[in-house]
Amino acid sequence: MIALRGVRGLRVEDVAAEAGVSKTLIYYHFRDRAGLVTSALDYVNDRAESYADVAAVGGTPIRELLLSLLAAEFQDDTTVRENSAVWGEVRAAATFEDGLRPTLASLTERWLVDVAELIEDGQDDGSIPPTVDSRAVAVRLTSLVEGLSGRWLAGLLSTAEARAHVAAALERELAGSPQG
Amino acid sequence: MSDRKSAIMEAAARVIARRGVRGLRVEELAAEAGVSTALIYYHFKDRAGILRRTLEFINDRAAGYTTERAPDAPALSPRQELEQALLLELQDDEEVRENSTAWGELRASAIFEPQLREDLARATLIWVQEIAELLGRMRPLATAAGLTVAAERLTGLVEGLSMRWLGGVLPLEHARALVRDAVEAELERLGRR
Repeated sequence: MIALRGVRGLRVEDVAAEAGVSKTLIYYHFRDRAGLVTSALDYVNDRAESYADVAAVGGTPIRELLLSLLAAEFQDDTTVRENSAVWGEVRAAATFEDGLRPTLASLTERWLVDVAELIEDGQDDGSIPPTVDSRAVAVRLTSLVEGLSGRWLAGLLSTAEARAHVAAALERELAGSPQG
Repeated sequence: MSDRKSAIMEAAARVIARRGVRGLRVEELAAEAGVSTALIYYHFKDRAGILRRTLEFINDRAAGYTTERAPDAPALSPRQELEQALLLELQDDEEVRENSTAWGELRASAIFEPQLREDLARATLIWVQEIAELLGRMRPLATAAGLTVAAERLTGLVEGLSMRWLGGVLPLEHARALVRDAVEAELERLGRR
């Protein structure tokens, strides 16, 4: 429903109808509308992690793992697109609904840490230069993905273009800046 | 643009920044602008018309605060001009915050309102071209395609960072520093070719 109508178009009645359950059951499980949105966000995040699941298939180069972790959002697949739309909506809605911010902040942080840790693993095995600032690079790359995601969802950017941008940004960021 | 018409646009940007696109009601907009709903329908036809014109309006306003400089101020270097053009969306200023919020809102709602997409695509394209041109002044040997993708990445990054800043997830100064580093990295990359 969020992917279809947006957070502000989310009405508990519609969710109940879409899921084929009663409103009471929804209130019982999620307490209120904010609880419902927060749980939906957690849900899509878990779902996203499963298709971005890059859990070391032995010997896959770190750079490839990073690319799959970052570009997982851009796929021509209904579920993935729906997930990205929910994320984008909740991100935009957090500007107006303070109640969404803590969940958004902690999920963003989790994603950041995943990316930064992979970069550090790459530094340990020598495939990524030690001068790369893993945290700053992770913030930039994930922000870029979020920015591109808005354009991709609005149809301004194709899936292939979005993925190519991420790949090029990753290559550029991991080259290591001259001043360290 | 007539005074009343621009008063309506200013009010629309304020209401969208405060309540979001879906919180925009023509009655509330009329009250905020101090005009009748009939006048709004006369100028903008319908809700979609209001959204399209507001997108244009905030885009023009953003272009205004980039180029606003004292006439006797020293000329900016291309690098400074580039950084300014990218960082203008990330400033601790009431009007900038309102503009960026409204822009982010309109962009997010383009997913649900197809009529907005074309205008959004055009505005984005103009911004990307402007950045590509500034990059080209510093890297005259880079290919046009290389400059364009670099500009797409930089503007995409700014949109992502802006959303995080407005959502309270990222401090403003940190966002600005990340943009400057990204400019450095893109220039470095274009220079190597």
